[in-house]
Amino acid sequence: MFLVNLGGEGEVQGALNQQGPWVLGPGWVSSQTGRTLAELYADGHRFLICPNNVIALPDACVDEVVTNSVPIDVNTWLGPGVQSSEIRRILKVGGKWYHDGNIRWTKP
Amino acid sequence: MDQTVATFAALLTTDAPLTPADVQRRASNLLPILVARSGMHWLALPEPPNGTGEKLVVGIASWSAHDLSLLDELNAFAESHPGIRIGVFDVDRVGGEFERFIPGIGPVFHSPIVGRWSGGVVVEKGTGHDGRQILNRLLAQLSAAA
Repeated sequence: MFLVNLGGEGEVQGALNQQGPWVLGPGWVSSQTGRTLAELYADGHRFLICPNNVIALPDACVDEVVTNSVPIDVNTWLGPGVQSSEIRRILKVGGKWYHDGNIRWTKP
Repeated sequence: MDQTVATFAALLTTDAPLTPADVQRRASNLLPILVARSGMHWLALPEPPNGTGEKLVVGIASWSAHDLSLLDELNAFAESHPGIRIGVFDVDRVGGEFERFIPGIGPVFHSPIVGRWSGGVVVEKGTGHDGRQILNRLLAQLSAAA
């Protein structure tokens, strides 16, 4: 199963964690654990670095998308938040979007 | 305002058929009202240094369940320690001008954004994980001292 955590920091087991390009800048650490990107990678977590509004994945390739405590469809001081249009695009038919622990959408 | 919203964490309660974006917009709109009804103070603009006493300024994201739970903890503390002023602002309402609220805060990648004043001077500041550590340590110290 292909599981993607948009805005993820490794808190979801087995997920590909997407983060914006700002994580590559100096000073970024995980909001929950304080670990650097290199430390999280060394822990075995995998990351996809791309803008929230241009997720670098093909259409209809993801079984489940997870979003936890991230901004949806708004701009923040860091730029565009997670875009529901991108979630709809990358999910397979029948794929599910879980937000803050609740299933919020299944792709028809 | 929805009278059933009794805690900050409840601002993000899922209500079908609202989308996650709708729920977050609602939380953003209700946050200032709920802060104004709490033991904390809403900061639409930065406050001038007050010169004396202890003050906390905390910038939170209304879309973050972690931050809203933190506000519930801070509010419980504020209600039992009225001598310490706790100001709250929404990180998405200040145009990224965090330095105006907490001088010297530096680059911000995560909320919460935390500044602690003592005697009119910023004595501690941090964001994200560091900000939470500051608050947790401070609340434990002050609670033990009370």
